[in-house]
Amino acid sequence: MANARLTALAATFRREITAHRLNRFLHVHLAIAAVAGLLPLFTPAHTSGAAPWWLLQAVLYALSLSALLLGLSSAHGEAEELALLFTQPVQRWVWLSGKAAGLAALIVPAALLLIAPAALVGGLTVELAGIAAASAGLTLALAAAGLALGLWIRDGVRGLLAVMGLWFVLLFGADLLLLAVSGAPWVHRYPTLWIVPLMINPLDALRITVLFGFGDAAPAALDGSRLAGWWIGRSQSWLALVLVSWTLAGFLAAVAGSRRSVDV
Amino acid sequence: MITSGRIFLGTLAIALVAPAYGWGPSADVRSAPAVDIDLSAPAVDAGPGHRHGRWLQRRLDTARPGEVIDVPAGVHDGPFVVDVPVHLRGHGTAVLQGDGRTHVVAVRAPGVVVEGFHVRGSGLQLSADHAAIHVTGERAIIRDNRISESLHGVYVRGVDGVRVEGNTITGRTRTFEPVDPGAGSAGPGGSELCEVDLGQDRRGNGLHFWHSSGHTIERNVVRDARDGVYFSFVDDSVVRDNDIARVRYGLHYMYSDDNRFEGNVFRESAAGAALMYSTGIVLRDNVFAANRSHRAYGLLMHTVEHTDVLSNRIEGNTMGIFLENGYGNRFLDNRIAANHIGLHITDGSAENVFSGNTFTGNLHQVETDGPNRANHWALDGRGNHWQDARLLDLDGDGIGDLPHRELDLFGRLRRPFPAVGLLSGSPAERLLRFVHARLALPGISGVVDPAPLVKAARP
Repeated sequence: MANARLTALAATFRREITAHRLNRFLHVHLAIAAVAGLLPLFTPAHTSGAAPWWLLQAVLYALSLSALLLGLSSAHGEAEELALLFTQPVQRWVWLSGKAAGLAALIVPAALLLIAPAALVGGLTVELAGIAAASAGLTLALAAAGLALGLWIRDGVRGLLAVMGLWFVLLFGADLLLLAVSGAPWVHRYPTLWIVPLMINPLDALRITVLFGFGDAAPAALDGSRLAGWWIGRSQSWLALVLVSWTLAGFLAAVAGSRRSVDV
Repeated sequence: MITSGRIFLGTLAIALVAPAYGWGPSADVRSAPAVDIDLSAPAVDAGPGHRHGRWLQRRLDTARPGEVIDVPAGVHDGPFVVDVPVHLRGHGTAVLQGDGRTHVVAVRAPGVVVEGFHVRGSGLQLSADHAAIHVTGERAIIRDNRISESLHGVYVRGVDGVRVEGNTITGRTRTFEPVDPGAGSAGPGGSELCEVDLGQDRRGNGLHFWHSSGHTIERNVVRDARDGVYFSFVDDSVVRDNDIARVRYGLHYMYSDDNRFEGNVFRESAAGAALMYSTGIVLRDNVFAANRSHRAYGLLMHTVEHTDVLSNRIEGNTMGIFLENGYGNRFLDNRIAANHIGLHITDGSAENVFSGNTFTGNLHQVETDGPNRANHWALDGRGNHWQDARLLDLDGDGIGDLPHRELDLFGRLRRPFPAVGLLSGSPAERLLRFVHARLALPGISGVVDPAPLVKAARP
C-alpha cells in the first residue's frame, strides 16, 4: 500500500515538473526573480546591505502575485482531466502531495535567483541567506494558497479573480482596514486585536521581519505594546511559523477542494 | 489561460512600476559607518618588577614651574596632585595608578601638561566627581593618554582654555560589590566581593566640562562611558574629530552657548547628541549614526535656539533629528538617511530653516504633530531633496516647479497608539501617501517644501 502511494506520488511529482516546463506563469516567476536579484547591484556601494530592501519590494509587489498565480495554474492545469484522474485508485491527498512537491521543487530554488547576484558581488551574508529562505517560504505558502483556490474554484476566470482579490487583500486591503480603524478608542484599549491580523498576514510578517530583523532598522516607539515588542523580538521565528502554517493550511484546503465533485 | 496570462502580465506591469512611484525600496543602507578603533590593544604590563611607588609624587612636590618631568615606563602609584605648572611626559608604558578612592591625577596649577600615560584606578563616587584626570587649573593640556578603570575620564571644573587631545577613554563597565551588602565585614561572607555590571547611569562621563569656556577637545576616542562628552555651562569651545560610541549620550550638552562641533562621530548610543537649553551652536560635518533602540536619537535638540546644523550625516538611527521647542535654528545640507523617522519636529518649534537637506531611505521622512507652518522649508529659493517627491522641473534649474507635500499619515496617532508604526513602509501606507500627496486633503500632518530639490546634494 505504501509502495503504491509512493509510486503515485512520484508519478504526480514528475508530471508536475514536466507540465510546468511550458507554463508561462513559471517562466514569468523565474524572470521576476532573476531581474529582482539584479536590483541590489544598482546600489553598488552597499550591495549586500541594500539587498534585503530591494528584495522585500520585489517579493511584496511581484513574486507574491506570481506565486499565487503559479499555484492557481497548477490546480487548473489538469482541470479537464480531473474526472478521469479521480477514477484512479489513488487517494487525492497523495495525488495532491505529488503536485505540491513538484511546485515546491520549482519555487524554492527560484528564491536563489533573488540573492545570487548580490551574493556573487558582496559574498553570501546571513541576511541574504535569510531573505532567500523567507522568500522561498513565502512564495511556497502563497502557491499553496493559489493551489487551494484553484481546486475550490475550478472556473478559470473566477479563479483568477479570486487570486487577485486575495492578493489585494493581503497586500493593501488588510492594512488599509487596520489603518482606518487605528484611531478608534476600542483599538487603543485592545491593541492586541489590532496587531494579531498583521501578525498572521504573511506579507506583513515578511515586511516586519525584513525591516526590523534582517534590516536591523530601529523600531521607533514600538515599545508601547507588549505584543508588538514580542513580535519584533522574535520576528524571524514568527515568520517561519506563519509561513509553515499558511503552507499547511493551503495544502489541507487544497485536499478539501479536490474532494469536491467534478463537473463533467 | 491566455486571458489569465494577459491579466497577470498587466498586473505584473503595475507591480513593477509601483516602486517607481514611491512604493519601492530605499537605495540606502541601514548600516553604521564602519569606523572602529581597536580598544583591545595590549594592556599595560604592570608587573611587580616595574613598580615605582610614590617616586613621582615626591618629584612633583619638588618640581619648579615650567619643568619637564620625564616619567619612565612602569607603574607609578598615586594619587597625584599637580600644583606646580609642569610638563608631565610619560615614556613607554608609564602607568599612573590611582588608589580607587579619589582622582588619579588632580591638576591644580595653570598650564600643566599631562601626556603619554595610561591613567587608571580612580574612585567611583559620582557625588565626589572622581576622575582619572581632574582639572581645576587653567589652560591645562591633556594629551595622548589612555584612560581606563575610572569613573570620569577627564573632568574639567570651572577653569578655562583646557586642551584635551588624542586621548582614548574606556569607561568602567564592571565593579566589585559585597556579596551581602547588609552583612558586616566580621560576619561570614561579609568581606566577600563579587563582580557585577556597572549600569550606564552609575558610570562616569568620558570628558566632563563644567562652568568654563574656551576649550579645545579633539581626536579623542570614548567608549562605554555614561556620556561621551558632557558640557554644562560651557561656552566658546571647539569639539573636533572625536569618535564616541557605546555610551548613553555621545554629546550631552546643557546651558552652553557658542560652541563648535566639527567632524565628530557619534554612534551606537541612546542618543548621538542631546543638546538642551542652549544657543548659538555650530554642528558641522559630524556623523550621527546607528543610534538604535526603542527611543534612540541621532541628534536630539530640546529648547535650542539660533544653532546651525550644517552638512552632517544622520544615518541609521531610530529617530534622526528630534527637534522640540527649537527656535531660529538652521539645518542646511545635511544627509538624513535610513532612519526609522528622519525628522521629528513639534509644533512648538518655530522659525527654523531647512534647506539643501537630503531626506532619503527613512521609513518616515518627517514626523510632526500638526501643519507645521511656523518653520521654513526653503532658504533663498532652495528647498530640500525628498526621496519620494515626484517633481516637475520644466526650466531645468534643479528645483521643482511645484511645492512638495511631505506627509505624516500616522502623525497624531503615534503617541496614543504607537503600534501604528507597525504599518511603516507597508504598501498600504505608501499607497495612501501617494494619494494624499496629490489630493492635498485637509487634516493630514506634514510639511510643505516650496522649492524641492530635484537631485540630492553631493555628500
